[in-house]
Amino acid sequence: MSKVVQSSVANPVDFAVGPFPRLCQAYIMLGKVFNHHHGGHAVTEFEHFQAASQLYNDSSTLTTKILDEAADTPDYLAMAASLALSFSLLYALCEPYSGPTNSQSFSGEEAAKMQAQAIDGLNFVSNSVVEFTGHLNTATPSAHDLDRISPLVMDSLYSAASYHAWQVRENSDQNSQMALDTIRHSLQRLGTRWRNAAEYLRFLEAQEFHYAVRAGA
Amino acid sequence: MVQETWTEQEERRRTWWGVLIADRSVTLRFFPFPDSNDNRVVKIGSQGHILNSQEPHDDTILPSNDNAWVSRSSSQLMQSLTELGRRRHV
Repeated sequence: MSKVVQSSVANPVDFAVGPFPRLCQAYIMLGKVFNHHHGGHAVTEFEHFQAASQLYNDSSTLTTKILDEAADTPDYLAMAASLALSFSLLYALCEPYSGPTNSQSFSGEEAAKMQAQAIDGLNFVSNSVVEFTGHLNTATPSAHDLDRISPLVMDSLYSAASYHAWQVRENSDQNSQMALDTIRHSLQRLGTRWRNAAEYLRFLEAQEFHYAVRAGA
Repeated sequence: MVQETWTEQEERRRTWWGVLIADRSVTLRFFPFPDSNDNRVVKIGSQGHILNSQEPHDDTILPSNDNAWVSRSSSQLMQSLTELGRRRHV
């Protein structure tokens, strides 16, 4: 029997691994993001934004790598969970930096640079999630196929739907409206198999109701 | 003491990583953003700010490639079934 090559946490992302190790790598990166937001290790504002920018580059590299691998594999669903967690990772990193209401009370050039990076990141990942739902729908023609989709994917769908709902509300963006409808339809479909999809859909509807009430006030 | 086979070690490793991932994915939506007005209504019975204190170190081994795992575990299963069949005929 041939020897299996084991990779470790320190291995670079370029090192070829399978879907489950990729999921683990997204998990590790998510831990770094949580520590960045809540750990309070950076001494100065400059160091804080340097760390944020480095995390953004590392997270984007991992996500792009998984996107490439998913595009090359005949079994797209095998990569779906790791891809979705890498999307969630980018949301977790970028959302706090993306706007004035979510900013971490920083100002200055570095903050503005990070905000621009975060907005680009959110735009990229939210459009990627729409493509992702298209792939999921194609790969699961029958209800029985939904068994193969991990419930881990729902968070990224909800995050993207929230982003597009915000774009519709703020900019009346028609593309975002179509994206929102696509993701909502996907969540409805997944909700027939996974309870958390139905719950996320309920949260989304509550959020849209909240927007509508505020718009009418 | 019986030495673990590669399949047993890998099974433990994959189970542990699965537990870590499930734990983090449950806390994902609960994490409130600093100074945020967004209350993040999504709370799924998590421990909130409590992060797993056992973040993997650089030398922690990742699960093996999925193809290797399927291939080896299937192979070991076949060996076990063959051995079982042989013993029942003794």
